[in-house]
Amino acid sequence: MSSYEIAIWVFMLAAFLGFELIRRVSPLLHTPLMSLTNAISAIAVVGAILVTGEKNASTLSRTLGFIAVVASTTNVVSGYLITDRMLKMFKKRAPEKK
Amino acid sequence: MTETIFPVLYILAAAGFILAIKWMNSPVTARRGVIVGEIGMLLAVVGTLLRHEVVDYQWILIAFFVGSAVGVPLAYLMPMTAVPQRTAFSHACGALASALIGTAEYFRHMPHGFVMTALVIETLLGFLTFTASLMAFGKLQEILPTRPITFRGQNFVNLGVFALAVAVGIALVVSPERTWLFPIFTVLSLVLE
Repeated sequence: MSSYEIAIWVFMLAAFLGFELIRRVSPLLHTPLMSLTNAISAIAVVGAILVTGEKNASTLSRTLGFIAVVASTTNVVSGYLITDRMLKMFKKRAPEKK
Repeated sequence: MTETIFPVLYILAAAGFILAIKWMNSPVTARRGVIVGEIGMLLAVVGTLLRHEVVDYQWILIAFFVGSAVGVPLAYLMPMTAVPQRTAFSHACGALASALIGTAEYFRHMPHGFVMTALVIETLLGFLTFTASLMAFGKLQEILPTRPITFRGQNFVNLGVFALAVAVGIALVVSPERTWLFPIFTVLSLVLE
Protein backbone atom coordinates (compact mmCIF):
# COMPACT_ATOMS: atom_id res chain seq x y z
CA MET A 1 0.00 0.00 0.00
CA SER A 2 1.24 3.44 -0.79
CA SER A 3 1.50 5.92 2.05
CA TYR A 4 -1.37 7.95 0.55
CA GLU A 5 -3.57 4.91 0.59
CA ILE A 6 -2.76 4.31 4.25
CA ALA A 7 -3.46 7.97 4.99
CA ILE A 8 -6.90 7.72 3.41
CA TRP A 9 -7.64 4.55 5.39
CA VAL A 10 -6.70 6.33 8.61
CA PHE A 11 -8.88 9.26 7.61
CA MET A 12 -11.88 7.03 6.95
CA LEU A 13 -11.51 5.09 10.20
CA ALA A 14 -10.96 8.29 12.20
CA ALA A 15 -14.16 9.77 10.78
CA PHE A 16 -16.20 6.79 12.01
CA LEU A 17 -14.36 6.71 15.33
CA GLY A 18 -15.06 10.38 15.96
CA PHE A 19 -18.72 9.97 15.13
CA GLU A 20 -19.12 6.96 17.40
CA LEU A 21 -17.29 8.72 20.24
CA ILE A 22 -19.54 11.77 20.34
CA ARG A 23 -22.80 10.08 19.36
CA ARG A 24 -24.00 9.40 22.89
CA VAL A 25 -22.68 12.43 24.75
CA SER A 26 -25.42 13.85 26.96
CA PRO A 27 -26.62 17.34 25.96
CA LEU A 28 -25.52 18.53 29.41
CA LEU A 29 -21.90 18.01 28.41
CA HIS A 30 -22.05 19.54 24.93
CA THR A 31 -20.41 22.83 25.93
CA PRO A 32 -17.39 21.28 27.69
CA LEU A 33 -17.13 18.76 24.84
CA MET A 34 -16.90 21.62 22.37
CA SER A 35 -14.11 23.31 24.26
CA LEU A 36 -12.28 20.03 24.86
CA THR A 37 -12.32 19.06 21.19
CA ASN A 38 -11.23 22.60 20.42
CA ALA A 39 -8.24 22.15 22.70
CA ILE A 40 -7.44 18.79 21.11
CA SER A 41 -7.64 20.28 17.63
CA ALA A 42 -4.77 22.51 18.71
CA ILE A 43 -2.61 19.43 18.04
CA ALA A 44 -1.80 21.51 14.96
CA VAL A 45 0.86 22.94 17.28
CA VAL A 46 3.00 19.94 16.28
CA GLY A 47 3.05 21.09 12.67
CA ALA A 48 3.63 24.66 13.75
CA ILE A 49 6.62 23.66 15.88
CA LEU A 50 8.13 21.73 12.98
CA VAL A 51 7.72 24.73 10.67
CA THR A 52 9.11 27.25 13.18
CA GLY A 53 12.00 25.23 14.54
CA GLU A 54 13.39 24.03 11.25
CA LYS A 55 17.01 24.71 10.47
CA ASN A 56 17.44 27.58 7.95
CA ALA A 57 13.73 28.31 7.86
CA SER A 58 12.92 31.31 5.69
CA THR A 59 11.65 34.47 7.38
CA LEU A 60 8.23 33.93 5.84
CA SER A 61 7.74 30.40 7.11
CA ARG A 62 9.24 31.25 10.49
CA THR A 63 6.85 34.18 10.90
CA LEU A 64 3.85 32.13 9.82
CA GLY A 65 4.94 29.28 12.06
CA PHE A 66 5.45 31.62 15.00
CA ILE A 67 1.91 33.02 14.71
CA ALA A 68 0.59 29.48 14.35
CA VAL A 69 2.39 28.35 17.52
CA VAL A 70 1.02 31.36 19.43
CA ALA A 71 -2.53 30.73 18.21
CA SER A 72 -2.51 27.04 18.98
CA THR A 73 -0.79 27.41 22.37
CA THR A 74 -3.54 29.86 23.30
CA ASN A 75 -6.03 27.16 22.34
CA VAL A 76 -4.30 24.40 24.25
CA VAL A 77 -3.92 26.39 27.44
CA SER A 78 -7.28 28.13 27.53
CA GLY A 79 -9.16 25.12 26.12
CA TYR A 80 -8.09 22.68 28.81
CA LEU A 81 -8.31 25.20 31.64
CA ILE A 82 -11.80 26.38 30.78
CA THR A 83 -13.08 22.83 30.25
CA ASP A 84 -11.82 21.97 33.71
CA ARG A 85 -13.40 25.10 35.13
CA MET A 86 -16.77 24.21 33.59
CA LEU A 87 -16.62 20.68 34.93
CA LYS A 88 -15.83 21.93 38.43
CA MET A 89 -19.13 23.79 38.27
CA PHE A 90 -20.91 20.53 37.50
CA LYS A 91 -19.42 18.92 40.59
CA LYS A 92 -20.66 21.72 42.81
CA ARG A 93 -24.15 21.74 41.40
CA ALA A 94 -24.72 18.00 41.49
CA PRO A 95 -25.27 17.66 45.27
CA GLU A 96 -27.70 20.61 45.28
CA LYS A 97 -30.01 18.80 42.91
CA LYS A 98 -30.29 15.82 45.21
CA MET B 1 17.40 4.75 19.42
CA THR B 2 15.74 8.02 20.33
CA GLU B 3 14.24 8.16 16.85
CA THR B 4 12.13 5.07 17.50
CA ILE B 5 10.47 6.66 20.51
CA PHE B 6 8.68 9.44 18.58
CA PRO B 7 6.06 7.27 16.86
CA VAL B 8 5.33 5.71 20.26
CA LEU B 9 4.81 9.15 21.81
CA TYR B 10 2.49 10.19 18.99
CA ILE B 11 0.45 6.99 19.18
CA LEU B 12 0.12 7.38 22.96
CA ALA B 13 -1.00 10.98 22.42
CA ALA B 14 -3.63 9.90 19.91
CA ALA B 15 -4.88 7.22 22.29
CA GLY B 16 -5.05 9.87 25.03
CA PHE B 17 -7.23 12.11 22.85
CA ILE B 18 -9.59 9.25 22.00
CA LEU B 19 -9.95 8.36 25.69
CA ALA B 20 -10.42 12.05 26.53
CA ILE B 21 -13.45 12.31 24.24
CA LYS B 22 -14.76 8.94 25.31
CA TRP B 23 -14.62 9.89 28.99
CA MET B 24 -16.38 13.12 28.15
CA ASN B 25 -19.50 11.03 27.58
CA SER B 26 -20.44 11.06 31.24
CA PRO B 27 -20.11 13.73 33.95
CA VAL B 28 -18.58 11.15 36.30
CA THR B 29 -15.51 10.54 34.13
CA ALA B 30 -15.38 13.92 32.37
CA ARG B 31 -12.59 15.42 34.47
CA ARG B 32 -10.48 12.32 34.03
CA GLY B 33 -11.01 12.89 30.30
CA VAL B 34 -9.56 16.38 30.52
CA ILE B 35 -6.49 15.12 32.38
CA VAL B 36 -5.80 12.34 29.89
CA GLY B 37 -6.22 14.87 27.08
CA GLU B 38 -3.67 17.14 28.72
CA ILE B 39 -1.21 14.26 29.04
CA GLY B 40 -1.72 13.40 25.38
CA MET B 41 -1.00 16.96 24.32
CA LEU B 42 2.10 17.08 26.53
CA LEU B 43 3.44 13.87 24.99
CA ALA B 44 2.84 15.14 21.47
CA VAL B 45 4.54 18.50 22.11
CA VAL B 46 7.54 16.98 23.93
CA GLY B 47 7.85 14.35 21.22
CA THR B 48 7.94 17.08 18.59
CA LEU B 49 10.39 19.32 20.43
CA LEU B 50 12.85 16.43 20.73
CA ARG B 51 12.84 15.69 17.03
CA HIS B 52 16.11 16.37 15.34
CA GLU B 53 14.51 18.52 12.62
CA VAL B 54 13.69 21.06 15.32
CA VAL B 55 16.86 22.99 16.03
CA ASP B 56 15.77 26.56 16.67
CA TYR B 57 13.97 26.76 20.01
CA GLN B 58 14.07 30.49 20.58
CA TRP B 59 10.93 31.46 18.67
CA ILE B 60 9.03 28.40 19.76
CA LEU B 61 9.60 29.22 23.42
CA ILE B 62 8.60 32.86 22.91
CA ALA B 63 5.46 31.67 21.12
CA PHE B 64 4.64 29.27 23.98
CA PHE B 65 5.04 32.12 26.42
CA VAL B 66 2.86 34.54 24.46
CA GLY B 67 0.22 31.87 23.87
CA SER B 68 0.05 31.02 27.56
CA ALA B 69 -0.05 34.70 28.48
CA VAL B 70 -3.15 35.06 26.29
CA GLY B 71 -4.68 31.68 27.12
CA VAL B 72 -4.57 31.67 30.92
CA PRO B 73 -6.46 34.96 31.42
CA LEU B 74 -8.83 33.92 28.66
CA ALA B 75 -9.72 30.79 30.63
CA TYR B 76 -9.93 32.30 34.12
CA LEU B 77 -11.21 35.83 33.60
CA MET B 78 -13.85 35.09 31.00
CA PRO B 79 -17.26 35.07 32.67
CA MET B 80 -19.09 31.76 32.30
CA THR B 81 -21.81 33.45 30.26
CA ALA B 82 -19.19 34.32 27.64
CA VAL B 83 -18.20 30.71 26.97
CA PRO B 84 -19.77 30.62 23.46
CA GLN B 85 -17.69 33.65 22.46
CA ARG B 86 -14.56 32.05 23.82
CA THR B 87 -15.24 28.88 21.85
CA ALA B 88 -15.75 30.96 18.72
CA PHE B 89 -12.53 32.86 19.36
CA SER B 90 -10.48 29.77 19.99
CA HIS B 91 -12.03 28.18 16.92
CA ALA B 92 -10.69 31.14 14.96
CA CYS B 93 -7.24 30.65 16.51
CA GLY B 94 -7.20 26.96 15.59
CA ALA B 95 -8.29 27.64 12.04
CA LEU B 96 -5.72 30.39 11.64
CA ALA B 97 -3.00 28.05 12.89
CA SER B 98 -3.82 25.29 10.43
CA ALA B 99 -4.21 27.71 7.52
CA LEU B 100 -0.82 29.30 8.30
CA ILE B 101 0.84 25.90 8.58
CA GLY B 102 -0.62 25.04 5.18
CA THR B 103 0.73 28.28 3.73
CA ALA B 104 4.18 27.79 5.25
CA GLU B 105 4.33 24.18 4.02
CA TYR B 106 3.43 25.38 0.55
CA PHE B 107 6.26 27.89 0.38
CA ARG B 108 8.68 25.40 1.91
CA HIS B 109 8.20 22.29 -0.17
CA MET B 110 6.02 23.31 -3.09
CA PRO B 111 4.27 19.91 -2.95
CA HIS B 112 2.55 18.23 -5.87
CA GLY B 113 -0.45 16.03 -6.51
CA PHE B 114 -2.14 14.46 -3.52
CA VAL B 115 -0.33 16.48 -0.85
CA MET B 116 -0.99 19.70 -2.72
CA THR B 117 -4.70 18.88 -2.98
CA ALA B 118 -4.92 18.26 0.76
CA LEU B 119 -2.93 21.42 1.42
CA VAL B 120 -5.19 23.57 -0.74
CA ILE B 121 -8.33 22.20 0.94
CA GLU B 122 -6.78 22.71 4.39
CA THR B 123 -5.81 26.29 3.66
CA LEU B 124 -9.16 27.15 2.07
CA LEU B 125 -11.16 25.75 4.99
CA GLY B 126 -8.71 27.19 7.52
CA PHE B 127 -8.92 30.77 6.32
CA LEU B 128 -12.65 30.45 5.71
CA THR B 129 -13.21 29.20 9.26
CA PHE B 130 -10.96 31.90 10.65
CA THR B 131 -12.97 34.84 9.32
CA ALA B 132 -16.30 33.07 9.90
CA SER B 133 -15.40 32.36 13.53
CA LEU B 134 -14.32 35.96 14.04
CA MET B 135 -17.69 37.06 12.67
CA ALA B 136 -19.45 34.64 15.04
CA PHE B 137 -17.36 35.99 17.92
CA GLY B 138 -18.23 39.57 16.99
CA LYS B 139 -21.91 38.77 16.83
CA LEU B 140 -21.96 36.87 20.12
CA GLN B 141 -20.06 39.68 21.81
CA GLU B 142 -22.48 42.12 20.14
CA ILE B 143 -19.68 44.11 18.53
CA LEU B 144 -21.22 43.41 15.15
CA PRO B 145 -24.95 43.79 14.47
CA THR B 146 -26.64 40.52 15.45
CA ARG B 147 -29.18 40.53 12.65
CA PRO B 148 -28.00 38.75 9.49
CA ILE B 149 -25.98 40.98 7.21
CA THR B 150 -27.58 40.78 3.77
CA PHE B 151 -27.37 42.69 0.54
CA ARG B 152 -28.90 42.25 -2.88
CA GLY B 153 -27.47 39.46 -4.95
CA GLN B 154 -25.57 38.14 -1.94
CA ASN B 155 -25.97 34.51 -2.94
CA PHE B 156 -24.57 35.20 -6.38
CA VAL B 157 -21.58 37.05 -4.95
CA ASN B 158 -20.92 34.29 -2.41
CA LEU B 159 -21.20 31.55 -5.00
CA GLY B 160 -19.02 33.55 -7.37
CA VAL B 161 -16.25 34.02 -4.80
CA PHE B 162 -16.45 30.36 -3.85
CA ALA B 163 -16.25 29.23 -7.48
CA LEU B 164 -13.30 31.55 -8.03
CA ALA B 165 -11.49 30.24 -4.93
CA VAL B 166 -12.06 26.64 -6.06
CA ALA B 167 -10.84 27.50 -9.56
CA VAL B 168 -7.66 29.12 -8.24
CA GLY B 169 -7.21 26.15 -5.90
CA ILE B 170 -7.45 23.70 -8.80
CA ALA B 171 -5.02 25.80 -10.81
CA LEU B 172 -2.58 25.60 -7.90
CA VAL B 173 -2.95 21.83 -7.67
CA VAL B 174 -2.30 21.45 -11.39
CA SER B 175 0.85 23.54 -11.27
CA PRO B 176 2.03 24.52 -7.78
CA GLU B 177 4.84 26.63 -9.25
CA ARG B 178 2.45 29.49 -9.86
CA THR B 179 3.36 31.12 -6.58
CA TRP B 180 1.61 34.36 -7.40
CA LEU B 181 -1.73 32.54 -7.29
CA PHE B 182 -1.37 31.61 -3.64
CA PRO B 183 -1.93 35.07 -2.12
CA ILE B 184 -4.99 35.48 -4.34
CA PHE B 185 -6.23 32.14 -3.12
CA THR B 186 -5.67 33.22 0.49
CA VAL B 187 -7.57 36.47 0.08
CA LEU B 188 -10.46 34.69 -1.65
CA SER B 189 -10.66 32.17 1.19
CA LEU B 190 -10.64 34.96 3.77
CA VAL B 191 -13.36 36.95 2.04
CA LEU B 192 -15.52 33.89 1.53
CA GLU B 193 -16.46 33.74 5.23
